Amino acid sequence: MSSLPITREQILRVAELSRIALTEEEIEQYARELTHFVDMLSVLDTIDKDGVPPTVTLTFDPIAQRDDKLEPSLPRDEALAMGPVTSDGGFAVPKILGGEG
Amino acid sequence: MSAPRDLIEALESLEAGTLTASELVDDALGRIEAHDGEIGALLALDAEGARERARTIDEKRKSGETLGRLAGIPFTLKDNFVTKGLPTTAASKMLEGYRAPFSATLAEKLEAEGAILLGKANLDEFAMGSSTERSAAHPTRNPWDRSRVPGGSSGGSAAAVAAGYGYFSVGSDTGGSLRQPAAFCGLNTLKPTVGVFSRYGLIQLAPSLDQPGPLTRSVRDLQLLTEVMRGHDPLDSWSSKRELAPARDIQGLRVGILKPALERVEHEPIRDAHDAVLETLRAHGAEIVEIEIPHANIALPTYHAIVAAECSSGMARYDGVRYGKRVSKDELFEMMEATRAQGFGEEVKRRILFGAYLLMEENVERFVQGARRARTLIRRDFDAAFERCDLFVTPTTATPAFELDNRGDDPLAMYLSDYFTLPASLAGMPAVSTPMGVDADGLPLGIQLVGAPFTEATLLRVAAAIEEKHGILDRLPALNGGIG
Amino acid sequence: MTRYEPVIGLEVHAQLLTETKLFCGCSVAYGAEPNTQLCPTCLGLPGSVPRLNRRAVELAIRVGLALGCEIHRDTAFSRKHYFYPDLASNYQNSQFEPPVIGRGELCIEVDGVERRIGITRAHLEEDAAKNIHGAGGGLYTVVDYNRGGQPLLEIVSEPDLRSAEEAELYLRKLREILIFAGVNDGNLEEGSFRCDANVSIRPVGQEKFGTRVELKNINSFRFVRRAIEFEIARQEAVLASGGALVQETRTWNENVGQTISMREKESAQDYRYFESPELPRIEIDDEMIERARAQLPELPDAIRARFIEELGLTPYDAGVLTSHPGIARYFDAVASGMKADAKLGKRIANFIQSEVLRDTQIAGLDAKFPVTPEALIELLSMVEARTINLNLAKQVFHEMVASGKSAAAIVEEKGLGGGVDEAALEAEVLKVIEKNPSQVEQYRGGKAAVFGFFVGQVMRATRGQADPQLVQALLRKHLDG
Ligand SMILES: [Mg+2]
Ligand SMILES: [Zn+2]
Repeated sequence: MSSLPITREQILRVAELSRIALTEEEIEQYARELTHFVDMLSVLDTIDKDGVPPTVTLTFDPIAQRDDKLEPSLPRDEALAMGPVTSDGGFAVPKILGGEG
Repeated sequence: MSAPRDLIEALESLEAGTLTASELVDDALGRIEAHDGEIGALLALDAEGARERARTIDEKRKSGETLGRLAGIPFTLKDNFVTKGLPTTAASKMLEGYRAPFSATLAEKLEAEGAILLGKANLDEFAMGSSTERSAAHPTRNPWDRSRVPGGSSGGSAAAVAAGYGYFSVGSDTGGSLRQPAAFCGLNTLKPTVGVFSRYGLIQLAPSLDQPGPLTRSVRDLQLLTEVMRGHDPLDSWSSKRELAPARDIQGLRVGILKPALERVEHEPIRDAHDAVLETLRAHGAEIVEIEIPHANIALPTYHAIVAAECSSGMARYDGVRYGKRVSKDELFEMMEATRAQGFGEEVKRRILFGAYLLMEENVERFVQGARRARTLIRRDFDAAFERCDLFVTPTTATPAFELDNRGDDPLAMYLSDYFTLPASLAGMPAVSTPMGVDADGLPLGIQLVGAPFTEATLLRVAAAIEEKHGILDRLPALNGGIG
Repeated sequence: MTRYEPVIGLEVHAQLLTETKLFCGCSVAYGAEPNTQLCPTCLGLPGSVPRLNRRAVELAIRVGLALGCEIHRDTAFSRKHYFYPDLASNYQNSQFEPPVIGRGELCIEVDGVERRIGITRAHLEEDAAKNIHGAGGGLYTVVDYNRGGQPLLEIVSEPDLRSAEEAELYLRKLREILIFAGVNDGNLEEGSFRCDANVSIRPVGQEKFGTRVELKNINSFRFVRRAIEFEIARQEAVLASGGALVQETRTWNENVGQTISMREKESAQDYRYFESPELPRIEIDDEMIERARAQLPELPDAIRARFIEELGLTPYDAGVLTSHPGIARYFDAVASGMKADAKLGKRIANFIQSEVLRDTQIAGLDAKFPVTPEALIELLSMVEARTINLNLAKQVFHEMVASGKSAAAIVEEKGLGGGVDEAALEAEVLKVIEKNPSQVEQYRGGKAAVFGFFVGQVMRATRGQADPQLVQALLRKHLDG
């Protein structure tokens, strides 16, 4: 069983959603490989999954919840020390024009 | 000094006073100095810090202070565990120079028990791969045969232990990333039941599958480390408070085998070794029963759909804003796109892109929810199997370690090397890999033992029985001329 | 000319009153220095693990009960993906289908008529961080992650609102309920109660919705009203001039008094929702619901009804005394402490409205206000026992506020209380009548206004301590009798 080939446009769309700039070569390569990948996955369409609930997380005990208690935060210097660019006590990014708050 | 064969022996020598922690550390550092230029198991080394901690422990021991259960034992940590003291890169350019402001619970726990961290071990970038060739830094070579890979993604950890850089390493397993390198490097490992070892500080690849675990030379080492590493961690919301089930006698144990899966193995020595193991278990009074995991044939697509989706989502955090690499650009999204284009390697980008495709509105039900439903079918297969047996065995891998650059041109072929390890990952079951001899080329072979949740102790007892008969500890490069 | 009908739906983001964030132990206190309330989890650091704050779930259940909504017993967190620096992981942990809280409705009163506004859903999610634009000499946008990860409940209404006024009434009502339920502080300026509005218009009689505009950044009730009114007028003008509306996001700019289009997104979003592979499902059992019900305080509509029926208040007074939970609790404490019936209730309400609320900021009533309900009970009990009269009580009250002393202490200190019992007062009355025979004659001759003179004389003689009503009664008895 073979799906429709993934197009250049589809790869560009996925790259935009993923925020990864691709070279022309990569676009071609990933389009080809994604087509194969989807082919491999299409086996899953053939098995009967009606009424089968999804397994999303996998634990044998309930996942713990936390009491609403304060815990120490990172010292700001330590947090900002990781930042590639910092300014005015925060993590700086190129100016966002008319950005949402 | 004559090097102890395993961790337990090293501890005995330390306690007897015939060896010091400093000697153990110096021995390990000497091997690293001599061989790691070629093996490439490590990404970061803390020689001075290790020597310092060894001296402290030796002094404490001399003055009769109470010491931790691993006092003086050098070890390494896969570089996808964050550490405050050493750089953490996950073998990615994205985290070059990154200094984590906290340490993984397991790192702290082991150091609190007196284990001495030598350095951080190589891996496939962000644990995506099965050969450690996809490290952004350099590939790791197998100490048994340097033309071959150590397996992956915990390949640096496995190579380090096999080469004698300390007595154990802690790595992680998502679909076989501990078991396959253990098999390729002649080591023992445990991928535990979800919740037995803390995941806090383990950089995630796919959180619903990732599990930490130790790589050791002997089964008894593995038993000790399991005991030391387990326990509830309030910082990991998945951490279990349960005790492990007590170990059962092999006499009367029902051991399952998967006939159809075995037929896929073309490497004859693996089939032979597997049969020899069954003989040994029968001799111990185990009953061999044939079982089925009917949905094992869809484990591969199920696994890769889930990993791609979770990975695509989880890797979104690396964007050049808060930490790690940034490629400077005037516009925000251009900055992110350039940073991610240059920071990630080919395989990481592949999984992120593929995962994004699967997660798109029109695809998510078919691929991601579909795979999650398939996962349920696989879990049910395991539940049914454990009605018929107490544990089951399979070869850990279908081949011994393969040569470097062997699969480079076909990423999907490399995905296939996880055939035997994926189902237990999808079902969340504990699994041990232990050596079962070597093939004609002298390459180690591994056997996998898979049990029901929290039956680690029984798996380890059975592994010990296999080791007694089929173990290859004395052939380990760390203990003979094979290295150098 | 076509007449248009506005169609408005509101999305409210209400910050839940927890101490810590939704998935980590960082503080949610407002106003801290930027980037001082963050940790590996809310900064999305590699290796961090989220841990759900169970309090947030409890508060969400409480909201469901307060709004009479369906509560879904088994829901999950989903990741909503989009790249933006205010999301530390470039996804938001939110809920998709189903949300923890399902359908319900909220009643508002518009011009005396009840209107039921549908609530579509409410879901738990984490807040985004704050982008501070124009930092570093205008070169950068700087991100402050303190707010990132704070627990929000997003409450979505049906598009049932038909005017800016209705929208405002709905918001005020919702805010009041959340405040009384103890789940939100209702602070619009600090952003703990935020509103986005979806506004469209359609020809009257048409069923199909028009093109919808999303209004963001409307952070006061006044702005809500003005922004929606402006938007309705703008849309009508566009259609009237033969233009077409575009689906877009606009923001209210108070300086120019207009809504302004925000930069168009490069292309449509695809949030790639999928259920979180690491967070717990939100499983709610009967016990949790019963516990939440037990913790749910009385809500303003019920309080007002009780004040009116049991404590003799007018609807207006009941409204004033429920303008803040602190005031309602204060009045309730005093009334129940004095076992008030309808008449006494009314007197207490008058005193609180005219004196207490004059003396204090509404919000100050809870914490630091020096006159506790118990202290006020002591004072008002003296009035009821006629130990002091109301005028004196007012003076004593202001003294209590200023000095923090008790009513008894002040009355004692100033020698105010206890001086005038009825017998003594009657003697004073007789004395005044005796001393002023000509005025008595005028009064008895039909000059009723002279009565005031007698009252004044008696009050002066008793240094204001007498109960004016009793004084009047006694004067009538002896002058008229
Ligand atoms: Mg929202
Ligand atoms: Zn935090």
